[in-house]
Amino acid sequence: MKLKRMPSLRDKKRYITFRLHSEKPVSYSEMKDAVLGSIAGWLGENGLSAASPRIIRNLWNEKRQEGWLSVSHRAVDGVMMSLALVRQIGEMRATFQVLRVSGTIKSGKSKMPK
Amino acid sequence: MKSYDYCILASSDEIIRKAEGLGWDGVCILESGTAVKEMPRSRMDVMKGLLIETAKPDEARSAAQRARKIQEIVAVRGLNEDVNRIASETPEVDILLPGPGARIDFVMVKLARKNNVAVGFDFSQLLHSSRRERSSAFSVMLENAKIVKKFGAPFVLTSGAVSEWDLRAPSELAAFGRVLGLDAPSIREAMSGKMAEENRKRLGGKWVMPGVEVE
Repeated sequence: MKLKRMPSLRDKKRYITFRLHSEKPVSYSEMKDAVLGSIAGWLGENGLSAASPRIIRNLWNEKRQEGWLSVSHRAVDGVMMSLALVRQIGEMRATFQVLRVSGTIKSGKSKMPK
Repeated sequence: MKSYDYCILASSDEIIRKAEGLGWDGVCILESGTAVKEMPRSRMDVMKGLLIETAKPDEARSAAQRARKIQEIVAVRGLNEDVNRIASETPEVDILLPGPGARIDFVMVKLARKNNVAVGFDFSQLLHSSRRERSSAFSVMLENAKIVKKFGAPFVLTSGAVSEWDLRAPSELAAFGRVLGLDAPSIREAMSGKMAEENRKRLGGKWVMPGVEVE
């Protein structure tokens, strides 16, 4: 049975589109560890659960190193700050650049910088 | 709306290219020496400035007064409270960057507002530290931000980048400001090119005093 939730009680989400700059291309799992580790480091376990970050796997573009992250609308600034605090992934120097914050994937895609 | 990073501590073509790619409209490269070097060429607005880093208050004041007529931006990194106080009292200073662990109080913030000295919040202090050190640096920044907000003093949000890997996009520095508790309109103003414009006007030769210009 699929549990339903009242629309008014659903979490309001924001989608953060980001680009990863690194010395060499990074795989999905390495990127995911870096993002979640940084959010946990900055916001703590309590903040991580409140932010409920979710990296959308099928929107990760390994060639362009771009991805989408869904977070609670209350935690957008904290998550952006966590992404900005990433300095390296493994032994490689790396930085995240936030491209856009949108309310839906559709609007995010239509207004993405080319 | 234009966005400027007023505190980049290295000058190279890579750093300028990266800043351009991240969406900055202008950057200020701060150097410790007084020699005016050739800036890297770019479509972006690249300014030059002087960073005074000292523990002696008198030295900071005299260096700022000497540099004012040739530099577009004059910044002071106060390594102790005395230097922070002198910097906030000196109208020739544009940016006061409180050094790690050097606090500012409401007296300094009031003086900074009177003398139009912007209090700098340096993101690199958080980036280059970890755990305990980062949390103590952030708590000092939160305290400073609270006083700056209360007294309406000017402030700037800077990356303090020493390499292209330390640069962050304008949206990320704005998020840093919001995390510090500063409000969105004042963050937009802090990152605008207003300070650069005003200082260029002053260096132009036609400026006499605020509101008075020679034709």
